[in-house]
Amino acid sequence: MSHEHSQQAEAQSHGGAQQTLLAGQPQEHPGPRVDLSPLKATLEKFPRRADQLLPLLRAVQELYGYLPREALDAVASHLKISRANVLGVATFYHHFSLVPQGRHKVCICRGTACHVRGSKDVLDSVCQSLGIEPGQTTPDLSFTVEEVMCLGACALAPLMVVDGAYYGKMDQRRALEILKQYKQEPQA
Amino acid sequence: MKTMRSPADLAAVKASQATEPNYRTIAVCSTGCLAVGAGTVAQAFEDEVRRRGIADKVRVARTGCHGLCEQGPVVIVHPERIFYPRVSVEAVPRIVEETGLRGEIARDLLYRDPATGEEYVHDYDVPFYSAQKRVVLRYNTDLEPLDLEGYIRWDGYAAAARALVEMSPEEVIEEIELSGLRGRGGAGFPTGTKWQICRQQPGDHKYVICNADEGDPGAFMDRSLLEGAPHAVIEGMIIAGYAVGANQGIIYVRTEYPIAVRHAARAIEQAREAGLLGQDILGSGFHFDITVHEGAGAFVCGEETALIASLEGRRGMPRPRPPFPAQKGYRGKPTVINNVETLANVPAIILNGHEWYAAIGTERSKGTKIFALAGKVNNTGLVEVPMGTTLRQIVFDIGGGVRNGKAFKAAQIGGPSGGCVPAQYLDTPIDYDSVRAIGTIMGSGGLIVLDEDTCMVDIARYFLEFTQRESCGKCVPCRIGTRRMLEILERITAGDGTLEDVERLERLALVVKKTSLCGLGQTAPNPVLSTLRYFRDEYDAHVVDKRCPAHYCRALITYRIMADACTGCTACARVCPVNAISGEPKQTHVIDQALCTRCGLCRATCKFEAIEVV
Repeated sequence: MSHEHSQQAEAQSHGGAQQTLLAGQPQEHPGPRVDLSPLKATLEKFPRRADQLLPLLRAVQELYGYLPREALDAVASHLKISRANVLGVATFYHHFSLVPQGRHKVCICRGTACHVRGSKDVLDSVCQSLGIEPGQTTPDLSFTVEEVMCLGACALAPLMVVDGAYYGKMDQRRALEILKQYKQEPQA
Repeated sequence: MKTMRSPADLAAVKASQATEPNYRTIAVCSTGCLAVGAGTVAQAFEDEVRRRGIADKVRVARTGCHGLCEQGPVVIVHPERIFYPRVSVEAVPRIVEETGLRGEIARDLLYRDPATGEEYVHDYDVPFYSAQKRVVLRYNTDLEPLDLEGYIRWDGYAAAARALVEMSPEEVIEEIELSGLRGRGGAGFPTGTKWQICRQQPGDHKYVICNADEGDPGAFMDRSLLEGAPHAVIEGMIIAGYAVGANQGIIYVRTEYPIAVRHAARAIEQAREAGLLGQDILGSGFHFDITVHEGAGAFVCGEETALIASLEGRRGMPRPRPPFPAQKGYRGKPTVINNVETLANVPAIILNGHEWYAAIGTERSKGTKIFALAGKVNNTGLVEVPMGTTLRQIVFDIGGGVRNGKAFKAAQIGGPSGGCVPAQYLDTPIDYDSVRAIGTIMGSGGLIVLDEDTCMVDIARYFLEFTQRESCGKCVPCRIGTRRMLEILERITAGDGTLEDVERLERLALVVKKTSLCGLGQTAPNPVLSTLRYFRDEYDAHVVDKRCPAHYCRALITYRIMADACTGCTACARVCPVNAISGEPKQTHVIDQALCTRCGLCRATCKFEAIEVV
């Protein structure tokens, strides 16, 4: 676990090209330099079959916190499929990110129940407070804000999840208070 | 648990469990309620029991979703079934002492009906529960999801044993066909027929897939079932596998549901260790195993051919049918794909017989249906009712009516594929055919209550935003049509729409509906068509009067501070993110409309309700 974290931190500390880190779109991504040495062990856990692509991408994202372009190339050659194929799949599914993610991940549920109970206002307040758009990461890589289409806890709408901790029945004020706690956290 | 090799072994495990327990169980909802602190509460119960050394008298069970999420964290003390809502950590020692040890009722902690003030002791008396009929959800309030012995005590796996040992595959299919069970994923295709088609296909390699890719925003039935009763789903899959002649099962579950993923994976391991999955299950000669596959966040993967593409490691794009997956599915082999709730119904049908099942529900829609009741309703939560129950019963009797005394405007049924049902149809029985007649679909069971403050044009825009984003892009009508429809709706909600826009929207909706490749595109216009059908006046208000009757659309509203109510406390001015509010302390404040972004933060902050929306 700690190994994973250090990798993630390393990947993030190389963040030279800030304009690409800010861009929500994955197309342009020179990205930070990535240490590919831990990738080998992950690749070897997966048989060289095309149907292993999704689970493998998931494992790679767990390792780095996102999908570095160099890692995608390694995935393509491991599974013996084209790089275009890998990129096509990686960009199709919302779960995958081709740009580095913030240390804190704020997910705001935008399901129907949350929507009718004001989740758009919550989302806007959080984004405004961080100075980013939904789907983006702050330049210092501390926060990523994501819209999620329904976390299935509709009865507790509106819902916000920060680093896996669920906060139900949010409103703008409470959301900003919670965000403040994470902002004040001493940086690891 | 010892590996079971015959129905007799299974019966022995059940018999060893059957004695009346000499302890009480405190059941804490530990799935949905986690978002309101149930984890801490359950931990407090466990600590209290340990601290006092009374583990032989009081047990704590972390169960699945009890349903009444609004009152979470909810706790039921068994066997008396004493019900405590909104349990706090402070209440834990008292519940352990008074109810857990002594079996007494802690009156002040009981549930009181918000409307009538009446007090309820037992969960089954609370109106939210008493009007339900729980067939599929029966385990959720009583059993720990991963308590395999407990599940067996409740006749778990007895249906699988009967099917595999006493019945032929044809008899199983006939039983399901006669029961009238229809697919709970939304379309309502007869389950027995689907199995029959798959059974008839030649070849030894077949698959059973459990579709747990519950992507409809506003739906959480499948999540709650897989989290709360994973063994019931596994048992249903075993029976399905036996019926169609498949030896391999796959649960395709959303990655957004981490607890469901964990419970499904662990329950499969348990079943394997107990001999309920794997080779020669219970000595029947039938072998079957299951793997879990996580989705990666694509709504379209709930469509069965897209789901298969995703399983095969490709972009989740659908293909034209036929051939249907039951003929040519995963890896080109015959594949039965059933929804979680469908599969969880199967054991009960085999166990109790098709006559019992077919006696529940309406003529053409049998059994019960689980709804995820949410939105502007008092008792949000998970509701299981017989098919044919009216919307009024669900929203008012079970749901306790609309929140904050507001007026009911509509119920959105079926998520992005469904439509809005207005108040005049509150007495329509909810079954597959009746809901279709009023312009929506049963869908998987999301039921969102909308009140007078909900803008129906915005609801249509909201769903189009969703379907447009989730459109896989393969076919033109869906890829471009949903985009154009969304643009029109954005224009209308921004106050820039015209009457021609509304007409164009309607025409386009009909074209997209008729010409799209898969269910996503074919049903994406439904929210638009149904709101146009029942709430055209709201569209007209937006385009003609440039007014949002629900005071929701930001471009068409203004926030104003009411001078007589403002105390000049400065709270609003301090929270305004764009510094649009000015005023001296203790003086009436004013909003600069040119700067105001209508975020509503001031109104949420004001303690004196001095800010109005016009």
